[in-house]
Amino acid sequence: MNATNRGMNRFVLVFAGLVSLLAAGALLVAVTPNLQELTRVKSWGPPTFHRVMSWTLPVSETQRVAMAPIIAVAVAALVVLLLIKFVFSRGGGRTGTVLSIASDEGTTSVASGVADGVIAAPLRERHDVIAAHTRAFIVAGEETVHIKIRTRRSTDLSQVVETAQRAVAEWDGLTGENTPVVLQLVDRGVRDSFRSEARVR
Amino acid sequence: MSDSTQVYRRVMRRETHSPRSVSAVIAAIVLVLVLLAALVGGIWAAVDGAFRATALKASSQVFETLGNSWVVAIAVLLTVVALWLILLAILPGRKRRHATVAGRVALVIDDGVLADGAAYRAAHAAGVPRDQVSATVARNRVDVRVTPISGVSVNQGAVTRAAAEEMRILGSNMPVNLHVEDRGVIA
Repeated sequence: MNATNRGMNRFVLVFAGLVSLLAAGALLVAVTPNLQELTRVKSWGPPTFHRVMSWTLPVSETQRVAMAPIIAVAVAALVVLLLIKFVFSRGGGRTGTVLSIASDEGTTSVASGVADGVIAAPLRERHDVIAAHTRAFIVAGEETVHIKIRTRRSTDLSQVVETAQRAVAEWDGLTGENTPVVLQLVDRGVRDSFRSEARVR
Repeated sequence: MSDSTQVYRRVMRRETHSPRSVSAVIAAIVLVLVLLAALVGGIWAAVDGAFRATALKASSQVFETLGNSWVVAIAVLLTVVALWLILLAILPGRKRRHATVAGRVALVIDDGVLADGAAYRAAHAAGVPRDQVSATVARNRVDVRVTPISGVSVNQGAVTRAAAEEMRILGSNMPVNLHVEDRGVIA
């Protein structure tokens, strides 16, 4: 779970797909005479190119410069910058604070490690839990606790969930707030499938 | 569910659908590289006539060397990639997970874990070892397959109820389809 803008992911995929389609179409037209006839590219292509390139602006009394290449370079540079910004803006949304309580005397912040100690630690004590850890994220403007639990095979899941619910109730009592909590039971990985059913301490 | 409704709705949607981040980032990096190459090449060709002539000659040589069939093959490959990217963008990309609000918390469970839970309960109710029960979780149903112990009948109603109860506790009210193998095994 993170703060990635997923709509933007899909927009970039569509954009890249359309660019690829355009490139494929251009290649096909370039080498297939039938397609050149079908699209009549030879009749409208060169005149359009000359019309676009004839749009010039004066840079001195004797010289004029074509605007189309300049605009194309500017647009391409802008797209490159936006794409680089897109790549570096993926992820995020994690916070080290699970709760902030403001009062007249100041603000009390609770670190996510405290939530891990209260909620995940009792789960880690269970013999049927391989791993349990807590992270905190900002979701819809609210601090949200995310607990990821990996259990052994043939575990009584309802008991694991019950233990987690009790830990969350304890957390609620401790903080006096109802912080949103997400409990996730994840599949065992390939490495976990080789672990023993019993846990030896 | 109290005032966390909006948060839970958002989390459950995000946890059960693919973000498409990896493919989007790869597509963006490839686009950046192609655009940068085009930009540098374009500007260089615009200011240096000799480079422009060399580049034009080189590109026509590349087309000649490759031949039409290879260019068509590259175009087809690009079309396939384009369709794949567009499908990735359009399709919902559901993950094999179920999510629900269970009391105070939002509960997100991988389908493999749900299947393991159903199989555990079914094995317990059927009185067979866990290895003799397999379960698969589809989007809207759970299929449980029990191989009985030879000569011992399985109470199908009790097994189905046990698996369904486990699903209910885990917040997924999916119907359970039970299949008991005709031939049992010796435990």
